[in-house]
Amino acid sequence: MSWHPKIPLHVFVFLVPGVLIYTIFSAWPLIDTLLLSLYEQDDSGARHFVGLANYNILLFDNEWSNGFWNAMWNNLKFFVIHMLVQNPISLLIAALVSNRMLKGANTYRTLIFFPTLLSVVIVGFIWQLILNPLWGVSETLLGYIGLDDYFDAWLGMEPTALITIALISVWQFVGIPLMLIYTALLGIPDELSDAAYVDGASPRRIFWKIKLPLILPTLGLVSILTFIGNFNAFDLIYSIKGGLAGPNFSTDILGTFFYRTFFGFQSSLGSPTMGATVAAMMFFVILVAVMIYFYLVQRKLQRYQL
Amino acid sequence: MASVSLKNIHKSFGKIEVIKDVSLEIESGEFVVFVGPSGCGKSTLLRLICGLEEITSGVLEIGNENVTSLSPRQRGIAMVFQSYALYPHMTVYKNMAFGLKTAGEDKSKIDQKIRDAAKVLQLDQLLNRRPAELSGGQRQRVAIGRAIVREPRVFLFDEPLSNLDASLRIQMRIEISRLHESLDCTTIYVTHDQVEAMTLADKIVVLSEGKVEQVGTPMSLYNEPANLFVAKFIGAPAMNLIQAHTKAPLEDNEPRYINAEISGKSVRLPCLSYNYKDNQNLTVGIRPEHINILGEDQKTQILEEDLQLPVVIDLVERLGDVSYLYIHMEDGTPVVVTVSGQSKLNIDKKINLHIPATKIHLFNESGERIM
Repeated sequence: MSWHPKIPLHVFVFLVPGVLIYTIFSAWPLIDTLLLSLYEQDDSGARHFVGLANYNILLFDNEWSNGFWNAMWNNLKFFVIHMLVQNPISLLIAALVSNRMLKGANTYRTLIFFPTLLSVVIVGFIWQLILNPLWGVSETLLGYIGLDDYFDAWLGMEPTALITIALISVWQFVGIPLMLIYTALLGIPDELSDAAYVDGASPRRIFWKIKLPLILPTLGLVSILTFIGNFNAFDLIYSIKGGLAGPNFSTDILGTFFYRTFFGFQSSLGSPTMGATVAAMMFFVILVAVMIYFYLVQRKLQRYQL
Repeated sequence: MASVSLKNIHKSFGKIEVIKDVSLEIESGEFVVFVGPSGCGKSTLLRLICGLEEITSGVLEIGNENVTSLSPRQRGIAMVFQSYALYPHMTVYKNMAFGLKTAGEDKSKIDQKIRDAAKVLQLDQLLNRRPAELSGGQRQRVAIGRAIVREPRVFLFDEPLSNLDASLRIQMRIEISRLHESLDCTTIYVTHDQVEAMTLADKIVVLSEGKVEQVGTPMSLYNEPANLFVAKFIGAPAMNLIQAHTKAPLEDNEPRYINAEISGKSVRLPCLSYNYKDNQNLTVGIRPEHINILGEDQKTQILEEDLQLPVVIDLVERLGDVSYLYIHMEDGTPVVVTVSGQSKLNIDKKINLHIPATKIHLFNESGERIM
């Protein structure tokens, strides 16, 4: 061969479709959003470049920043509740259903995964009915076990609304980390637990000392997926609480905050440029968290050859 | 070190009975090999002794103590798994320490035991490595080391060499043999490889379909297989089996002989006392190395009752030290003959086989040995 390039031409030919689709539908919209956040739109619809002024307003102008930081703080709580409730529960259930002795494991798995298949709108609607203090069934159900005194209009009260919605979200999505962890647990050869059992370890010790360390990378992955999912969340809160994320913005997270900013809500007008600024902030928060996670955590979690 | 005794052990998975009434005595310090084709229940039997599976019925005793319902740790056994089952996230040292730590032993004591075992198994340099950084043979040694430090009463090995390549397998076989010699610990070893069984065992247990076919020293199994199954299973190349059927006894018939017919030829076969009727099926077994080729070996002495069969050579395999002749008889029965040295015989050559009567194994219709 006389002509011998370092990278053959056909490599680029094969790359073109993927790069093209990714650019048009993913990379360009993102870049466009980031660019838009650097402009201001006046009443006539004309846009002027204003640099980082929008960010300045969002983060430091009280009129905007109170709402933004409230949403940020709520979102963090939303995430923490998922980390503390959803992931430990899925780990526990995964450990239980991966037990060879358990009969009907497939049925449990399917049932627990089932709510994930439901539409968020339906889930929001159903739970709103269940928890309704006037005609909901929860007070009656709690009454059967003598706990009706503890019932309250949880969705309507500032201190509990966000927690309640987060728990509804946990109920719906607990199946996804469950599946990931379950698969990881199944990937651990039976002979390993057999060997540990012969070594005299109790099932609990086998779980903590053998199985858990081997699925740590999956737990890491589950955590970061939860973070990304929670900081992009919007639909459940919107379907239960609407765009105002009441009561008194106590369930407002970045997704709903962005929605009101971009599209406007009720009497307030939307602002594409400020909306883009909020969207960009959401992007940066997730980006930074994922980067920190990958550099500090994932690199240290070794996947072991099983 | 302890004796192991199995009394009428049964094991069923649901309705399927996989171990059918196995009784076995294993003496203290003995090296016993369970051998059999895949699916014969040998691994299940080992897992029953280990305590990884529950015994459906029967009694298991280790050191004259009933351990049927005890956990593996209480039974005082250690097991080496086929895949080694090393904990991937732990170093060699921690792998070996895990069982001892679980038992709550003293740290300095654990350290001493691991150093000692590591020295015996030449693992000193590898203690800080993880299993992924070890070769197959090294992993095997770690798995053995993990068993040794526990100082078990009985060692169990579940096909430990089947994941190694051929040369390493021979090397590890010798190491295991040497280790057993020095530790003098009761060992039960499962394999499907009869060469491993023959070379390692004090006593071989041949299993088939959940039942014990025969128990004995390697040579007794080879020389006097109790039935057709053992005859076929022990020895490579396998024993030749030739179909025959009985003919009515003659007036002058001696009780030590059976009149029979092999591919249309009348023969007299030596036999232990056996009441036989006309036209019963028999199987004549003869090991490949016991067949002579007439005209090739001058020293062959032919006795009256020896068999002589005309055959044709299908294939010759020359391994250098021995040659295998693949042959078919007139009725199509395949026969293998081992000849020492490099045979000069060629394909399609017609030869006469000489089968010495003293070397014949004879099996009756139900496959039991009658000679």
